[in-house]
Amino acid sequence: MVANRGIVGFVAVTMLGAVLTGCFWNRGSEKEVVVFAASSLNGSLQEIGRLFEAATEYRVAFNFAGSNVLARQLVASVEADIYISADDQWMDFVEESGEVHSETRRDLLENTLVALCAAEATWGPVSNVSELAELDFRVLCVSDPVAVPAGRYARQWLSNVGMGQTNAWAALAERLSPSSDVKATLAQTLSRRDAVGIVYWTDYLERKNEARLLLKNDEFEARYPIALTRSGMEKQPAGAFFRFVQSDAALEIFRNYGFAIASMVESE
Amino acid sequence: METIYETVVRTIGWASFSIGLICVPGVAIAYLLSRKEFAGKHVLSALTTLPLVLPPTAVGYLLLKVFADYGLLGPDTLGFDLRVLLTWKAVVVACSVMAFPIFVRTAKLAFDEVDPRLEDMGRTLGMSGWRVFYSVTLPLAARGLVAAMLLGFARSMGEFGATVIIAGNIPGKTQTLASAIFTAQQRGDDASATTLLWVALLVGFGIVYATERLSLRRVNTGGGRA
Repeated sequence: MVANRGIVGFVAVTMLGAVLTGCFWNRGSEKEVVVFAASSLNGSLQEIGRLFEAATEYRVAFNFAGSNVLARQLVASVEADIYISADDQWMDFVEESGEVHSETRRDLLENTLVALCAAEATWGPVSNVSELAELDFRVLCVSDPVAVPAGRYARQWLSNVGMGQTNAWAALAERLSPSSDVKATLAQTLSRRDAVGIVYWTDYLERKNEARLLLKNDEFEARYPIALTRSGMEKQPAGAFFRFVQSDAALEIFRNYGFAIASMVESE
Repeated sequence: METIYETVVRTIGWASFSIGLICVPGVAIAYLLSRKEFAGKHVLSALTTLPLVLPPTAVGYLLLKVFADYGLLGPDTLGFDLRVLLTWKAVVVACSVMAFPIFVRTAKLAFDEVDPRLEDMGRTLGMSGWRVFYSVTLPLAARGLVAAMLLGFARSMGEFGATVIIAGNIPGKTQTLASAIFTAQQRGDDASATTLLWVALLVGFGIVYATERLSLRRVNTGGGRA
């Protein structure tokens, strides 16, 4: 008897949960803009989102992940209104599938790469990649060099520097620890003393107190294109947020986080 | 380039090693929980079950804190470096912790099914407690214990959440079957992901099939219980 009552109670609670979930599932989607953004934009975009919500009647829902993950999700099923990628390749991929509106695509931001370590680590700043490769760190934390923009950029940077018979990337291959996006790379680097990580300049600035900058690549330019998706074209809040991230107030926030503003946006 | 074969072999190796590690403490705790009454029994039972109900990422994060430089088992505390994080040892730690609950729970059931009267008979024949355990309890519980090992092994094979946090996902070093599938999927490398999926299906099916066979046979032979 007691066991029976327990089962009935459990089923009742489960069903109540299901009903409640159903009720709230799509709540507010009319006034909501869904933004898929490269994980390096996490801090800055959230701040811009709060500003946007305070200034309008709309709400923003963010999905931050590696641009590759977002691109695949977008192509599989368009649940986003706006896509901001950390490189052109993934934006191209989504554009070719017809999920984003090509007319709205534009470069929004620029970023650059750094090598850093935890503040408790023993290494000091170096003057070039060869010196970096000679440090005695045990692991080099990078984002997935095949798919994630930050990882592709890192590979590009290090591959272009010759080391003896080979290049810096190949010389460091044995010590690589790839992770799924740049924030994961940053976390992995800062959680240990025997690691060096390659992340964006903006990531370093966000965790400046816990990190030591070893090398900055000023010649490198990571580009962040933005575009409205097909569903975003039909939604008012999406258009509003799309304009808002290009407004002076938003660009100021991006600048504070260390991003450079793409020249096309700035001249508009 | 890391081949799929190597990843699978490595994963099986780590899972086996993890089960080897937890076997003795797991059997000891399962036996205690099944046979003895002592203060804090329910606390011990709850603690050993915890990794089963916690999100694997929570366990991973906890282990990361434990093995970090300043953590409980970190170099700052111990005075020497265990070199666990981002090495194969971290994979084994994650697998062991995550497989422990299912191992202990299954092993406890195995001991529950052994009739205590048979143990008593052993004792009246003058066997020592250890001897009774070794030559009466253990053989009678053997099938259940093998099932516990298989289930624990299966849990280890599939471990991802905790592993990726403390061991990372380094091809050729700490990449497991689970994290290889994750990487292949994230890269959009459908060919590799599909192959790995088939391997996972085959291994998983084999283990579940073996476990079922074992428990069926136990029912058929009656396990000595009237």
